[in-house]
Order: sequence, then C-alpha cells, then structure tokens
Amino acid sequence: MTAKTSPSVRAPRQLAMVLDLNKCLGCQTCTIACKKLWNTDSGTDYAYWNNVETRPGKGFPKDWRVTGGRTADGSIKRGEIPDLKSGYGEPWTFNHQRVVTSDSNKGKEWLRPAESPDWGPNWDEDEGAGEYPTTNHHFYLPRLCNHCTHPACMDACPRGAIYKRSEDGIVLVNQDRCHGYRFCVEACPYKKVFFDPERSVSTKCIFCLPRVEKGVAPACARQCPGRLRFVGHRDDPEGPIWKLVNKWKVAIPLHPEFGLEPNVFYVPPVSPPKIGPGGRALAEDRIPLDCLKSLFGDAVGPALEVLRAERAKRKRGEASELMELLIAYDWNKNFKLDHGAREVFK
Amino acid sequence: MKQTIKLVRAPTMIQPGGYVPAAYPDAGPPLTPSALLVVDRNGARGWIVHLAWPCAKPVDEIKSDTDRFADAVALLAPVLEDTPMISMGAPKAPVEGMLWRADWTAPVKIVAEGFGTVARHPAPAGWTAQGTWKDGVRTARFEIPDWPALAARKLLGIAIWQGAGRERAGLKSVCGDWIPVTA
Repeated sequence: MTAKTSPSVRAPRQLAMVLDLNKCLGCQTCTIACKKLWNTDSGTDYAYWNNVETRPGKGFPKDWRVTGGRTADGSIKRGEIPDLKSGYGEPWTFNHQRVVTSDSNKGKEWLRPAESPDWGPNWDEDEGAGEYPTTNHHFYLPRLCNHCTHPACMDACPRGAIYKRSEDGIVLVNQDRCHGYRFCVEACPYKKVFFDPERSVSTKCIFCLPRVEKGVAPACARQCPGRLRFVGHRDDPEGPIWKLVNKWKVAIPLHPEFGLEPNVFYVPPVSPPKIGPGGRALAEDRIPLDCLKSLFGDAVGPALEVLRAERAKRKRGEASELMELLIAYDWNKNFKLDHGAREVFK
Repeated sequence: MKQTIKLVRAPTMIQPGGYVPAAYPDAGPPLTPSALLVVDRNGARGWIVHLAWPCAKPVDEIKSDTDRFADAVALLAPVLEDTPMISMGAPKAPVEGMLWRADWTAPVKIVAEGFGTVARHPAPAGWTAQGTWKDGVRTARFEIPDWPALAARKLLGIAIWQGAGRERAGLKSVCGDWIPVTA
C-alpha cells in the first residue's frame, strides 16, 4: 500500500476558498446554511458537507485524520468508512411536540433527544487542550470538501462517477453513475464524501454550484457572520485567493502531505501567549506550533510570522494590504467570481 | 447440470482507478472459495439457475447505516464469442446477466463492456430471483424465461459478494473463466 497517485486532472481554472481561522466564532452559521440548502433529505440527515470542529479535538467524523485513506507521507492506505453511530453520530430525535404541548403545572418537559448518544458532530466543542488558565487553548476549524486538484475520491471510484469540472475545478459526483460502492468515502483522507443509504449514492459539497454559476458565493461563505471566508479563482491576481495564497503566503492548505493539492486554504490562528506565574504573559504561544504543524505542515510558521509582522505594522499606524483584506472592511473584496458577480451590498 | 464451482478472488490490480489496486492488493483466498451450481432448462427457452455458497454472516439490508454492504450474486453470459469474463466483457464485447442483492425487492438486468461499465436495467418480464439464508448457507434461485445469450454461447459466469466482508464492486469472488453449461 505504498502507491501514490496523482491523476492529471488539473482544471484550466480553479475556484478556491480561503478561511481566516483568526475570525471564526464557531457559531456554525455556515454549517446550518449549507445543511438547510443541500442536506435535508432523511438519507443524509447525519451528513454535514460543511462542519466546524474544535481543534485540538477528534473532529467530524470522529478521528478522520486517522481513518482517512492516506498515510502520513501521502501514500494510499486502505481508509475506513465511518459508521453512523460512533463515527458520524446518529441523528437525534427530539421531543419538540411534547415540550410545546406540555402542561407546566404537571412538571416541565425538557427538550432532549430520545436516544442516549455518546458521540455526534461538534461533540467535543470548546474542549481543546491545556490547563486553565495558563495554557488552555482551542480554535475552530471549519471544513468542507477541498475540491482537490488530485481528488482521492475521483481516483477511488471504479465507475468514473466522480469528475472535476474543467471550467472551475469543482469536484462532483454524478448521481446517475454512482452505485454506492463507497470507495470514495473510504479513500478521501478528509472524509468529506458522505453516503446516502436511502438513495444508495455518495454525496458531497458541490461548492454551491448553482449559486457560483450566477455569480453568488457559496452559502457557507455568504452567511458567515465573521466574514472569514474568501472565494475566487486561484489564477486571478486581482482576487483575494491569489493575494492570500500566492502573494502574502498566509493561506495554506490542510494536510498538504496527503499530496492532493486542496483548494481550500486556511489563514492559521495567531496564538495568544501562555500565562506564567503571577499572571504575566510569557513569550510562548498558547497554541503549540506543533499542533498547527500537524494540521498545516511546515508552512504554518512562516505564515504566522507574516501575520504578526503585518499586525505590527497596523499597530504602528502603517497601511497593510493584507490586514485590510483580512479584516474585510469591504466585504465585496472577499468574493471575486466571474464578471457579473453579485455584490454583497450595492 | 450440477457441479461445485471453484471461485477465485477477483484480481484488483487490473481494476480501474489508483485506490482499489493499492488499498486492496491481491492476496489471500477468496471470501467465497466455492459454490454449488445447478442449471436446469425450464421449457424450450427458459433456465433455472440455483446457487448455494457458505455465508457465515448474512447481510440482508443496509438500513440507515453508512458502512454496511448487502450480500449479492450475479450471473453473466457473453453476448459474443471471445468475450473476457474476468473483466466483465470489453468494449464492443458485452456481457449481460442478472444481479440479485439481498436488500432489493427485485433483481436487475446488468449489461457491461468492461470494468466500471456495469449498467443496471429493470429485469425483463418473468426474470425473477429469490435468495434465502439458513444454517450458514446462502442460496439464490434465478428463473429466466428466455436468455438468448446463454442459449447461444452456453457459457455462464458467476460473481458472489459477501456483505459482511464489505465486498462490493470489484471486491468479489468469481469463477476464473466461463463455465460451460451442459444443461
């Protein structure tokens, strides 16, 4: 199991997304925006094309970094298909009706799931790591399909049901060709392909294709209250993606070692300091660099240095194109799609 | 015609895509080493095919689970001469047959011209299949009123998937070559 594959499917143009983790509130608005738009079928009740997980943490599905279909050096290994209960977490059934109709005189009916779950999406929210109040730390990691340049899911499908659009690099599952074999679920090291057992097909993020074709950014990006998402083409030097990824090099991919060339990038979180004796701030980052390196690789160090340097410039009252863009004073600059793209505010 | 058929693990090295050959390298015995095959004529044009094979843990349904696979069996026949069996035909050399899956209410007709090309169609009128499981043995009985490809070539192919072993697609036990039908 040492083979590496890199199907030559680089699209002439590639849509991409950058997420600034310094601004993520963990509010799950992106998760709900996506879920309500695309995944209300009962067969994908458990599935979240977009989720936000707490890091350090197990993620969604649980331990996806371990069960994915790649080794630490990017070689193919047999991945695992998460099971509904302990991997994804069973959808819960709530007693809404009883709560609404309960007679308070006879005792309050509390809202609760009928099941007794011990795992689910966002189960370990805010747990993080470290000791309060000196070293405790966590940050939020929103995740979606990376629409990889070399998609493991596509390479895994024996039916050729998964393809990458040449016009924008979006990776899609042809629902008519898919026979529900789930090699794609197994092989994707990010575990961002989901099986719909009712329709017996695989499903995944479509980068809000119908919106994008109308010049509207994906719902997860447009609905984000923190304005932390940027959308555009990789090769557009006037767009936010090229500026953040290529020019400033502060946006880096998740698990680049998998070798799939993800097209979702992250601006890593700049850490507050650890607290020492007497409550004094130490010169040591609260989020260990190794923790960030385990997610984003060695590029995270230089990216953090650039971020700190540009922050310092702004503190001195100097101009910073990078900070201007990341702060998103003009939200329209977060999204640069093709001509005719709709502005956020006119 | 009644005989015990030896089955082999379908080779993965020749299957499409990079993942399956790498993640499932060819090794070890097939999950279904053999099957009992009985083929009888049913009238002038019809066929009854009966298969039985050891199956320790039957999987009859997927339910709402994400990681379950159902037991299944397929019968194949070459439409033309010199059609390869192990790859389920080849371009312009199709195979056709019938697929029964434990979680389906009815079998489907399948047509293929090589790996990854299987197309499923509603079974023609009168094509039926029933599966049962008892005491560690899975059986399937196919009734086919008219199958010109089998009548013409008198060759049959078999593929068996054990759901409990997560077999699906090219992960299966198959006869190594076409089985001559003497019924």
